[in-house]
Formats: sequence, structure tokens, C-alpha cells
Amino acid sequence: MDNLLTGDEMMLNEIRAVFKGDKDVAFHELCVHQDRERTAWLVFIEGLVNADMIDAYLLRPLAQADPLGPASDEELVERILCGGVYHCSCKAKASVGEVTSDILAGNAALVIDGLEDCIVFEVKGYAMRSVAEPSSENVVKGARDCFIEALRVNTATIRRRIQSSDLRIAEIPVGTAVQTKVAAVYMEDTADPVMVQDVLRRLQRIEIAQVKSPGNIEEHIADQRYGIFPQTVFTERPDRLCANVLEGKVGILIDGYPTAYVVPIVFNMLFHTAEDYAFNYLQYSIVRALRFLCAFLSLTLPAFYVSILTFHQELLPTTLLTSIIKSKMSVPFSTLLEVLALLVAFEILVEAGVRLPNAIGQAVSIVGGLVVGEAAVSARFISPAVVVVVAVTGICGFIIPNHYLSNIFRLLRIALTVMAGLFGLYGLSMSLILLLYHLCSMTSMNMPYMAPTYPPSPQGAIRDGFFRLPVRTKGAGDPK
Amino acid sequence: MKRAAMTVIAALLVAFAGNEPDRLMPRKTEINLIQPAVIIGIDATGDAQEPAEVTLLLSELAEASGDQQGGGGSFQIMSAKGQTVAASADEIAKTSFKEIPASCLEYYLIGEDAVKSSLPFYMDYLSKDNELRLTSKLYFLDGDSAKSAIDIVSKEKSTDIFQIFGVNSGVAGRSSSMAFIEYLKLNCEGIAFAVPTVRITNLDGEDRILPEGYAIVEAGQYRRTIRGAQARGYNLITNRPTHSLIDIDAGGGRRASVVLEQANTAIRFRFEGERLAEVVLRTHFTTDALDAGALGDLRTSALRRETERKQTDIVQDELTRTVALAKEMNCDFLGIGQQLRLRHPYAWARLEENWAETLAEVPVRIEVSSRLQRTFDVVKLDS
Repeated sequence: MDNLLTGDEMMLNEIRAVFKGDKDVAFHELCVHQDRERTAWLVFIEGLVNADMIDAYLLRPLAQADPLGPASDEELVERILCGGVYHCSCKAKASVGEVTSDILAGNAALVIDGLEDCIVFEVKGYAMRSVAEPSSENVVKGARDCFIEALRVNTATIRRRIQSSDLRIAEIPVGTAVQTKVAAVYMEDTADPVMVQDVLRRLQRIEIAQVKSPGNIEEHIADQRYGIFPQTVFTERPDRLCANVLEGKVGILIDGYPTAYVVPIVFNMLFHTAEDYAFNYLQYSIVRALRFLCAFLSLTLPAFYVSILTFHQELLPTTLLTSIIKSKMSVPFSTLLEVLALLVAFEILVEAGVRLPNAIGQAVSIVGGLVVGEAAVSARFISPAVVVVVAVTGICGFIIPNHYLSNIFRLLRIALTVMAGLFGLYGLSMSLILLLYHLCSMTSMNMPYMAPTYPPSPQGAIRDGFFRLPVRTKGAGDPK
Repeated sequence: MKRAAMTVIAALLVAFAGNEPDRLMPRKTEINLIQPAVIIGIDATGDAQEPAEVTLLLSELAEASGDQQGGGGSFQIMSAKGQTVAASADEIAKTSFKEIPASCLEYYLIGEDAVKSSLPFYMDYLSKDNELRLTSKLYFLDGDSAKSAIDIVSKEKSTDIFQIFGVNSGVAGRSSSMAFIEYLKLNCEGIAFAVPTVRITNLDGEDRILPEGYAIVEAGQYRRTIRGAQARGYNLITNRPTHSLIDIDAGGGRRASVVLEQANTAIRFRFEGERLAEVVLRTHFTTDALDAGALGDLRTSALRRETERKQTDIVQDELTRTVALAKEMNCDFLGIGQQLRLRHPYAWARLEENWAETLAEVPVRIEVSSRLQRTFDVVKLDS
């Protein structure tokens, strides 16, 4: 720790040395109580502080307030900390490191002539996005606010929703070079204390230079760092996070990012949406079942098609078989190559559509999907049946609510297709068994990932897993 | 654990994908290198050197153009003779440019000569080929060869063979279809069963293949063919589809028709001590009026009761003749023994050995009831 050894000059020099003449760092010189013999410097970063607050709550009282009149050094500090400067948050700091961190966080540091301590005022006032509707989790019926980039606003949103003294918000700075605040939100009476401690310990153990992306945190708290399946659920909806926190899970918020993570999770949570609980249970039980079906189709349909057409033609009705053979008569490529090529082309189209602005993205979809697809079929590069299979697969993939899982399925379907092309249905079924084995062996915060399927709990699977029973039978009747 | 599981699965994959004679994996065949056959016909040639003839009806795979992709198209016939059915089929495979998978066959047709001369000789090839589709339909030809039937089918434009076999109220009651797996299950010692037969019939100058009746097979050997009323009697007793016409004598030389819509037959057994005293067949069926003008005004309940009595008598007669035939043949092709086995297994254990003789001797009581459920007449106006 760098102690301030003597007086303001050394302090100022050290702060100046830290910022090395950065133009956005302001060193505002002032006279305390208009006394030219007692100078002070207010150090802050322009753009990160609220100028009005500095003028009204710092500069004016420091220059004009009677309580700050003639007094000894110790008395002056005491008076400032006790309300001489009427600001809700002010602390005396004696370390250059702490002071510079506070300045970087948007606070203002007051360095007074002849004093070893520095007083830090919280005057954050940078521009931030207002709370708007979530962009990726839209609902017809339900709350319409979302998290924003400011951690304190997000924690306040949670406090507003969960007005309980059991709500705990632990903040842990993460990053060795640049520190980012990470908050763990949980209910003290509901959450498993061992699990909470585990989450906090994992957050504290993160050793990275800086948080460049929320994924950095996610990777470091995951049970299986090299696992391909999502081990957290991310959401930008406060209501969804709060519902999970109320059920005993831990929410993780990262300063600077409008997404929150929920841990621990189970696999079927990746198929749930906030709206599942907003409408009739039967309707959304069917929708949930449909999501699982579509996810299975998106994973296996191309592989199934390849294995049937390459190894098990007898499974097709003869009329359909004849029809497919006719459509594939002049196509020069094998079924496996045909499907793989189209799957890759589909991925290229998706990526192109995502990265481009909306208007151009739509044009790419139309040109890529319709024009090129039609031309490829007409030119006999691919058969129409493959286009149908890959298109259905793609659409089914988009039904999966979790974007992360959807991306993983996109990769896995290619791997399964290759296995099906090499070994037929045998290869496909073996691959699926391996995949299931991997899923069943996974944990999230040491909880079984495939619960309630494995370990089996039929009641749980029906109550709020693959289906959703009416809320009154569910115990905690809130969205998850 | 995970590593061990992956190792085992990888080892299985490698082992099963081994060389041709040892491999357990299915064989890889690109779909555009195969030509599916729809019907296989097996005939007896009468030639001692080449007694078997196999005829295949193949889907014509002429390249589809434009928006006709995947459409119907016509057929192609391939035929070969040989010492055995397998040799004939092999001969066809040798002369074909493409692979002909046996697994795509939808219909098996056996010519009359083959059925009557030596059924096991001609059916063995089908019974032993594990690639054949078990749900495919099996038909015996009545009065013709399978090749003739395939010739007729080949002239059709559509691949929808069901239409070719004609599903209409005039003929459907005569025979129903039989999946090949049923044949395999029933074709064992001591079991008699019926295989649907089809016949080439000239309708308005055009040859058609129509259901005709059933060929009775016992212990793998052909016994005889039943047609007409006895065929419908068989359908009624075995609860098969019965949608067909019943001609009723309306008096004065005039005829009327009703359609037999639904029927159900329950087989019950009455014992006296351990002795099977009686078999009771209870059949109830419903009909709709079709061409009933000759009968009179069906709005009167008395006439409806009279019509029901007449149609009941007709069906009673058909069932009686069918049961009489089974008794005469000493052959339980009606499956009465199977019903006894299900309902009275201990009694069946006693009677199983001499069941045919027992059935020939035991009285069979036939109780028939019917209802004319729709006359399509307006009985009373609303206003």
C-alpha cells in the first residue's frame, strides 16, 4: 500500500504520475473558505462526474460554508466528513492506489494543502442508457424493463422488485489490471449457503487482467471450463433474474454489461422463457414440448436424412424413395457432402445476416436463401429434398430460446451428420448416447445438470420441466 | 468413466464397420445408385429345368424435369427364369445397371400355378430374405400368373397401387389385404389361415386386378380358394373390413341393395364339464340403404324391420356356409381355435392336439342381428 507520507504536494505528484498528463483528468485548484493560504485540489475525470453536483455540493460549500472556517487540519477533515460539505458519500482515503481507483470509477478526490488524507466524494454522473425494453427477450405479456450497463442501477432495479431484508448483494472486484465490479445477488434465507459460498469463492478466485466480456466471468465460474453446453443462463430481464433469485439461485451482475447470469442451472431451463408463466399452463406446456421437439429435430434431422439415404433406404416408403431418387438423379455429390455443404452455407448466411445492418441483412437472406438456393437446385448442385431438410433444421434451431444452446446445436448437428454419413443410424445413435452421457455427467455449481431427468424425478419433469403445471401446484408460483 | 465409455463406443464403431463378410453395419449405398422395385411376382413355369420365374415391377427413374420433380412416372418390368426363385432374382440383379434393393418391395404376388403346385418352394425365398419389408402386402393370383398381373399394373401411370386393386363397395368385402409378416407368423405346423387372392377381371374392355377371395393355406400347403359369400363370411367372422353390398330380394323379381357398413363378431364357447359343448358366433352388423327403392317406403318402421330381417337372413346363410366349409375341410382357417386359446387356455391345452376334428364335430350356433341405420329419407319436416 502506498501511504501518503507528507502533505499535499507529494499526493498530487503521485496522482499526476499515475495519470501521466491525461487531458480528461481535471486538477481543479481552489481555496478552502476563500483562504489563499489553504489551497486544495479537486481531482476528477471529466465526463465521468456530474458537474452540477461538484459545483453545488463540493465547490460552493468548500469556498463559502462557515463551518469550514479557521480550523486546524484535523478539524477541517473532521468537519468535512461530518457534513461540512453536505454530500451523502464521502470517505477519507490514505492510499494513492485507492484514490486513483476511485477517481477512475467516477468519483472526485479532494487533496487539501497540508493534509495526508485525501477525501473522496461520490459524484458519478456519466451518460448512461436509460432503462428500455429488452431486445432479445421480448414478451407480449410481462414486464418491459431490462438491465442496463450501470451496475448500481441494475442492483437498484432488483432491490425494487425484491423488497426483502433477506436479499443480499455481494460485490467482488474482478481483474488484476483493471477492476470491474461483479455483484452476486441471492436470498439469504432461500439460497443454499454452501452453493452461495462456492459462487463467491469462484468469483474471488478469478485471475484475469480485465473483464473484456461477460463470457470471461462465465468461463471462470463454470464447473466444466471446456464443456460445450451453457452452464449459466443469461438474461437481460430483471423479472426473470428476480424469479430465479427468489427460488434460491444466485444472480451475477457485471458492471458495464446489461446481462445477468443465473447459477446453478439445469438443462431444461435453457428451454424456458419469461413468458412461459404469463399465459395458460396448457398452452405453454405444449409450446415447451414443441421447443424440445424442435431442438431434437434441429440436432438430428440432417443426420437422420443422411443416414436414411445412405444406409437405410428401406425405411422410406417406396413412393417417397422414388421421388427422392428422381430429384437426386443428376446431382453429382454424395448425400453427405450435399448436406454438409448446405449446412455450412446456411451457417454462412446466418452469420452474414447477423453481422450486417438490418436492411442489408435481409437482402443477404433473400439473395442467399431464395435466389442462390433456387439456382443451386435448378443447376442440380443440390437436390430439393436437402434444401427442405436444412431449412426445416434451421427454423427448428431458431425456436430454441437460449442463443448459446442454439449455437452449440448448430455445431453438433454438423458433427452428428458426419457420424451418420460414416456409420448410418448406428453412428447417429452412438453419438447421441455419448452426448446424453456427457450431459448426464455435467454439473452446474455441483448440482446435476440434467435434473429432473437425471437423477430422475418424473414429478419435477412434469411440474416445471418439460411441461408446466398450473402455478398453484408449483409451490413458488413465479416465472423462472 | 467417460473415457472408458467413449473407448468402448469407438471400438464398437470400428468393429462393426469392418470388412464386408464380417461387418454388422448396414452397407453404404448412395441413393441414386439404386432402383426400387415395387412388386415382385413369382410364377411356376412348368419347365423342369427352370421351374421358377421372377418378375419385378421397377419404378421408372427417368429424370424428372422442372416442376415435375418427384412425380409419378411409369414402370419398367424385368423378368428372369431359373432353377429356384433365388437364382431367378439373382439373374435379374446381374442384368440390371443399378442395384435393386429387395427392401423396397411393396407387393408380393404369387401366381396361381405356383400356389397350387408347391407353395413352400416358391415362398421360401421370400420367407428367408431378411431384407424384405415385412409390412408389404401379399396376394395370391386366382386364375392367372403374377407376370400377367404385373403387366397390367405396368400400364398404370400412378405408383399408388392401392387404387389399382380397387377399393369400392362392390368388391372390397370379398378380401382384405395381408401383411407379409402375418403370413410368416401363421405359416407353421397345424395352423390354417387365409391369404387374399386377386383376379384379373375385364371391366368394360379394360383388364383390372380386383380382389376375389381367399386361398386357404394349411401347414404351408394350399387347400382351396373361397370366393363370394364364403369370403364375406370369413371377413365377418374374423372381423376384417366388410364394406360391401348385400343384394336383397324385394319380391316380384326385383332386387334392392344395402351397404354393409360395420360388423362385429364375438366367438364364445360353452362347456359342459370339461367337454366343449358348443361354439357360439354372435354377429351384429349395420347397413345403410343404397338402392332400396324396390323395397318400398323405408320411412315405415315395419318395412325397415322387414328389411333388417331379410339382410340378417342373408348374412346368417353366408356365415353358416362358411362354417360348414371349415368343418367339411377339417380346417380351422376361421381362427376359432385361436379364440379358444385366448379365452380358455386350459381347455385349449386339452383340445389343441385334435382341434380340427373337435371343430368338425362340435355344434356351432350362429346368432346374427342387424340394424338398418340410415335410410337417407326425411321422416318429418321441421316446420
